[in-house]
Amino acid sequence: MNWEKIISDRFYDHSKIYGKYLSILSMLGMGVGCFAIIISISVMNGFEDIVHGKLKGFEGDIRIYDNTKDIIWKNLEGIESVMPFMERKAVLEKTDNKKVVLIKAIDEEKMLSFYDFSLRGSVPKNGEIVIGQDLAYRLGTDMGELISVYSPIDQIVGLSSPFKRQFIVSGIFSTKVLNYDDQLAFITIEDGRNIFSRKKMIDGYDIRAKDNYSITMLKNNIKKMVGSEISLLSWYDQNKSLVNAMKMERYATILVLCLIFLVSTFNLAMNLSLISVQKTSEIGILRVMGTSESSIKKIIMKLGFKRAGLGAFLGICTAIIIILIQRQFSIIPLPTEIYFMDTLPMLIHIKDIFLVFVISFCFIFITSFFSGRKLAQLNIKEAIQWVK
Amino acid sequence: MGEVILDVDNIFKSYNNGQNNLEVLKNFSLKVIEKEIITISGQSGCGKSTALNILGTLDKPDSGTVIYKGKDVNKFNEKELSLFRNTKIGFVFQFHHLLYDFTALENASIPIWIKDEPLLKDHILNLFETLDMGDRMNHYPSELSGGERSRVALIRAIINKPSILFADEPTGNLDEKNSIKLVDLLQQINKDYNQTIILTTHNPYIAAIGHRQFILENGYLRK
Repeated sequence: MNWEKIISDRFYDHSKIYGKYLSILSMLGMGVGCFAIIISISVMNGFEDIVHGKLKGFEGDIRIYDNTKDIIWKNLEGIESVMPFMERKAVLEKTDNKKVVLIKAIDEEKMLSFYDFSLRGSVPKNGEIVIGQDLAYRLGTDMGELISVYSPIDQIVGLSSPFKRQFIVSGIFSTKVLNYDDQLAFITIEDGRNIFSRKKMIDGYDIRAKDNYSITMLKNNIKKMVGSEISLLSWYDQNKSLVNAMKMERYATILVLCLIFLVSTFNLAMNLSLISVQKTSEIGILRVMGTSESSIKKIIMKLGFKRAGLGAFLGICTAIIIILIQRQFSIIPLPTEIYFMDTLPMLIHIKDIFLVFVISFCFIFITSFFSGRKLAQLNIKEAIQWVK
Repeated sequence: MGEVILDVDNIFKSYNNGQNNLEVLKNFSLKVIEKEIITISGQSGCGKSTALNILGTLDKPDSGTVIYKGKDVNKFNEKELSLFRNTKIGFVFQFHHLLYDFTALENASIPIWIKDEPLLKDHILNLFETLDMGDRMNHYPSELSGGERSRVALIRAIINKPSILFADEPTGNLDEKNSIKLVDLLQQINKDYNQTIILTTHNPYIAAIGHRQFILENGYLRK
């Protein structure tokens, strides 16, 4: 018979009448704490997921600096598509506006299928260029207009002015991630060979992995084939500082939000203290009847878990329901002129729910354990003489 | 002569408030024989409750031993003490100390719950009937009179068939009629269940029910 639960339940019912508000507060505090952490993590997950997707969509999953023509790894399992590229800093000029950007020469036929971004206009043909939205704004140009491009490093040393090539702006892309929209332009491989005259070959390939195929595994498989001399970078390696910064931000947020738990723990401790005062003489008589210290601890811990645990459970459930509703119906909009999405992204993983569950469990356990221990160690003689 | 179940030898107990040292029990010795009623009387504050608390393991003496069937109870660890209190002794206090959130039946059943044994319904019902509480089993303490509460506390104290029942001024909070009834019940329990009882009281009439009667005076126990 789980008699400790029966006694704990009766004490709980009693405290719903006496100390009702403190009881509600401790339940609410734990609920709000769990709710806030789950919602915050889900929003960070949502943003992370979108940013990661954009990064991968713009750069491919893996970049290999392998300029050989016959690529031996091309048919490896897990490779969806491959994009050859050449890239170099160059100057874009429109009337008096000049801007140093990274020019990326690519296979224009694969451009739309390989990269994932919003493009106004069309992919570049020879003599055409696709530039970022912010870059277009800074240069004061638009689609169909001419801009000059030259690569200073590829100029023949002399006193003559640099050789400039005219390009028609065929398209304007928008990513709203990092500074891509301001720092990047696409041309065809053939144009690349003409402008980057000192380059003899392509720089390497961007590789797109198949959906759900492990990028790390694919990277390792390629590495095994090409050896360690050829540089191989996953999208994560290329954006390590950004990804790590986002991770740090997530940890910091969880840490700060744990303060809510801490405050609700104080409420719970106060609540259990109140019950301890109200029930001192009854605990004393239970001890007289032969209840062990560990049973008294169990009774108080069950009480703490029933109260705060219920709050935590309700908080987690409410947060999950809100996340599901937001994912399904997008009820919380975002201004598209500021963010690169029109609705608040929310994404929650089982491991995050488990993490919140563990954190709340630890807080409730520690508070209830120490409250229970204090009560269990009461002097029996004094406890039964206790007058409320 | 029956078996000595509790051998109390040379107990000393004093309280110190920082300035004064009050010696409550001096050379307190007592052999409790099974099936007997022992009464300890004395004025209020003479140390009767202290003595009972020490005998019942709720307090520890400064020196001396309390031997229960050959085992020194002061050497028990926490777990052994809890088991001892649950199965070998029962307590009735001046105030009933019932748990207000539980019915009379539940209050009486708690020692069995703690013992983690199945409820012996016949035994419980028999006790409630014997103590004239059969129709009050499902009432909460707040719905019972003072006398009834004391009887529930008495049932609770003997429900696990303890070797010794300690009654610390059990009539101290009752009117004369209920006091007489409770004392009669204690005698009946002693007779029907061979229950060993140690009872403290300041009332000489109640002290007279003891097979052996002691007086506690100036810390010394005398016949």
